[in-house]
Formats: sequence, structure tokens, C-alpha cells
Amino acid sequence: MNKEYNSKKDYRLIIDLVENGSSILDLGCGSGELMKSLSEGKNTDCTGIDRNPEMVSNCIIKKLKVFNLDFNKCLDNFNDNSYDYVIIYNSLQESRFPEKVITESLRIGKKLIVGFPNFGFLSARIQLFFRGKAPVTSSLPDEWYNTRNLRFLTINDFIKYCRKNKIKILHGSFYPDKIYTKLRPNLFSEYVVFVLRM
Amino acid sequence: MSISSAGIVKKRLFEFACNKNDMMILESGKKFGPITIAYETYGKLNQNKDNTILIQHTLTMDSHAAGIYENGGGSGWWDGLIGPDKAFDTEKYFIVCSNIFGGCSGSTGPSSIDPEKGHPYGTDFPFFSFSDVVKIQRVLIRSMGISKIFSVVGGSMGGMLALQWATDFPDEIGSVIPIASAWKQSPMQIALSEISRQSIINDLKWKGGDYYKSGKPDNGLALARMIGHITYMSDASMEKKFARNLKNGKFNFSFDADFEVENYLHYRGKAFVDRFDANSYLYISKALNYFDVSGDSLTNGLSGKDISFLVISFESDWLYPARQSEEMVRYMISKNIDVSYCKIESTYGHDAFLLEINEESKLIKNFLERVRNE
Repeated sequence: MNKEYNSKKDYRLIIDLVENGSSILDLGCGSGELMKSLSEGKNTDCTGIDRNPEMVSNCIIKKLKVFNLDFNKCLDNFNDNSYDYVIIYNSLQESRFPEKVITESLRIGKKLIVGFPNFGFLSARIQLFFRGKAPVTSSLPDEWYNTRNLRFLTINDFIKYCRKNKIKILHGSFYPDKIYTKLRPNLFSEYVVFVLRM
Repeated sequence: MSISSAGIVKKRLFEFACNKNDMMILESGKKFGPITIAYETYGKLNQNKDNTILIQHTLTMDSHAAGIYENGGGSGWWDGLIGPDKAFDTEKYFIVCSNIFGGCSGSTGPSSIDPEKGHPYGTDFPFFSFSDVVKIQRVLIRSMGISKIFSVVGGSMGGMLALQWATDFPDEIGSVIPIASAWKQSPMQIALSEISRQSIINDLKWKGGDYYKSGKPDNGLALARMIGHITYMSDASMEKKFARNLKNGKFNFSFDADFEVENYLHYRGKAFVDRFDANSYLYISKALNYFDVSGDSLTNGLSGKDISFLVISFESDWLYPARQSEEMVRYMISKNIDVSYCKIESTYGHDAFLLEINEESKLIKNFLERVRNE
């Protein structure tokens, strides 16, 4: 995950969407920065999952609850509707089993908040079409040889997936927050956050 | 930070079940008494009596978890974690560590004198379980006026005893930290401990456990310890520590120890027999094998209780592999129990819980603070 992009400013996208005092499960929580911001901003009860021990250690240092597990493999242990929100922020594109993760998250959380970089972003299209290279943008900052991303999806891909699976899209926040991104999100948004419900 | 910042400590003895009518009834149904428990405390019990941390030791350790005795000797086995400003901060917490029932470092065990017969119990000592160990510890804790323990903590077998507390007395503890541990003894662990026991039992000097006059089964106990030590290390840690280094720089062409690693095991074995009783080893390792609080036995009593867990495992630990901790954590998740879990990256194997002090400190200190503030 790119630390530069993952700045506190961008957490506002998520924090604004979450209700005060809610319970949250953060898949791929990293060092717990988002959970900390949520706890401070919205007094939430957060639990994280991350497979990296160093990240998990950082979460515990921040006094957060966390599981050092792989969220691709452990979600079946969680009960239905056991959290108000499941958050998959910047980690869906790194998942080996995104479909399973989305389905399970919708079962575990009353709502699911998903944030991912948009591969359909104009700059990405230009790089691929005119320069014939794998795109590198501020939300897709790594090169093909060092990116942790395994999935390259666009906003339209995701909306289509939700329609097909009868997943309700309750809300979409597009970044950057401009009029043109709202008009043509798949072309102009670098990053998107959806709120979903089954 | 200086070594032994817990300072000068003292081993104390607590005696109970001295009368015929207040004897302890063990899980096997046997009545037993009198019982002495050796223990040490570090830090001060606060006015509310709610700052107690109970430290559980491993199979072969004792109540000397921190500090040094007035007459010298080594510092405690978890000295790096216990003291002012350390993970178990003696400025904040009242820390208790007791030698378990059946042990041989001050608590009543098979090598203690049977007051009725005037000689050591030997194999007349009753078989016991971890439930018994915990029940007996509880008498000590209660005698100090403590009705709720802030945290029960332990590595390896100590972690199991901590989990036994959570199983048997969930209302009387606030948090549990099992480290490099498991919620049941696996077949591999049972098998390894049986080899250790057989090596003692097959020493002709064991004599059915009645060796206190005729001479101890040192060879068998040393062999058990050698087996144990292999399981505490990892392939990587042994490579790093010993490689193929030779003891005398050349092959002996004899059956004496050629390699450093052989020499180390012999040394460990010999050092052990001076401080440990073979019968205690047999009884405690048997109790270890009986231990199983897996599934609902642990979690049934926990639902709706205000009790938090921090489970820690180590990457290279093959004796109590992370898999076992994960199995327990995943089950706890399904029961909505407040649990955090971290698998520390370490090459030390099972011994990591005694060596990865810095990483453990960070986790434990912050977890305890979180629980304290909730």
C-alpha cells in the first residue's frame, strides 16, 4: 500500500461515511492508521485484520484490536451481521479471492465500505493506449514488478459486478472531489469509495 | 535498562490444606494435603486489589520470574519483561508467580516429604491436572485478599495454565495472554512428552519412582531434557548457533560428542538434573498431556464476560506452532470474544517467548494499557 496516497486526508472519505459509535472490521488494516482515525473521529469500536506481523504489532501499540490472519482465508469464522461496517480500504485489489471476500464481507457487516484505485482513470488509459505501458498514477503508484495489486478493476467493472450480484450501492464517493468526476467518474476519478449492502 | 531491575526478591511459602477436613479434592477424586506453594511477588498490590498479574511458568521453570535473590544466583527467567517501566510494570502492577503444584522448587511435589511416612512421596504422589494446579493457585491468590486478577499470562505450558484459568474462573480474571501456547496438547506434543517420560522411566535408577535414597535417575532425566531442548529450538536457530562447529576442532573417532550441538545438549542435560526432580517432570508432563480446553470448554464460560485475550505465537515455533494459536483465535472470533492475535516473526523456535523480549514487550505493555483503560 502506498503510504503517500494513504494519508490522513484521504481517510476523510471513509470517516465521513461512518456513523458515530459503530463497530468496524477493517480488512487489510495495515498499521491501523485508518482505525485510529475512525476511533478518534467517530468513536468507533474497530477491529483489524492483517497478515503482516509488523503491521499487527503497530496496531496493538495503537491500542487497537487486531488479528494477524489472512483475510482471504479467515472470514468464514465471523458471524452474520457481527459488525456495523466491514471496510476494505485499498486492499481489495490485493486480494486473491475478491469475490469471496466481498460476499463474506456483506454477510459479516451490515454495510460494506470498499475503496479502490480506478484503473479506468484517464491518465491510466492514456498511458496504456498511447504509450503502451502499464499505468502508474498517484493511486496506482507502483510499477508492474513491485506492485502488490493483483486485480485491476475500473469503477464500471465494479458497478457491473454489483448489479449482477444484486448488491445495493448505497453511496459512491469519487476522488478528487470535482464536478467532472461526478459526471464521468470512470474517466476522471482516480479513486472511489462505495458503500454497499446486500 | 539494567538487568534485574525488579531488584532483590524473596521466595515465600504459603501453606494450606493442613487439616484432615480441609484437604484439597483433586480432579482424580483423591484428597490431598498439606500443600505448600512457593511464590514470589514483584510490585505492590493497590488499595482496590485490582492490579494483580499472575505469571505462569513452563514445565521446568519456577516461581523465580524476575529479580535476584539476596544471596545471589541468576536473575529470574522473564526478568526482561518484569520490572519498573517494563511490559509487566512493577510500578503499576502487582505481579505474582508461583511454582506449580507438583513442582520441585518449593511447592509440594513428588520429592516433598510425605508427613505421614516421613519420606518423599515418590509415585505415591497423586496424579493431578491443570485444573487442580489452578484451583490450588487460586487459594494462594484468595489468601492475599484478591478476588479478581487483572491478567493471567504465560508462555508454553504457562499459556495453557492461563487458559485453564479462563476456563475454570472466567469471572475472576480480566485478561489472558497465552504466548507460544495451545488450547490442547496435540498428538505430536503428547508423543514427544512420552519419549521424554520413557527416557526417565527406563533409567534403572528410577526404580518405580523410589530413588531418593538410592540415587537419582540422572541419565534418564538428562536425556529427557536433551530431547526437550531440540524441540525448543529451530532448524535456523541451531544452524546459526552451532553450524557444524566441532568441540575440539577435529573428529574424535569415538562416541563422545564431536559437535558443538552435541556438547550443548549434554551440558543442558547435566545442568538440569541438578535443579529438577525426575518424578516432578513425569507428573507435570502427564498433566500437560491431559490438558484440553479446546472448543466450547474454553469459550462457553466467556460469552458476555468482560475478558480480553492477547494471543501471541512465533513463526518458527514447531513445538507449539502458530497453527494451534490460530485455531483457537478463529474459534474465539466465532464466539465474539475480545481477542487480538499476533504471530511474531522470529527464527528462535519455541524458545522465542524467552528471547523476543522487545517485540513481546511492545505488544504486552500496550495491550494491558488498553484493557486497563477500557
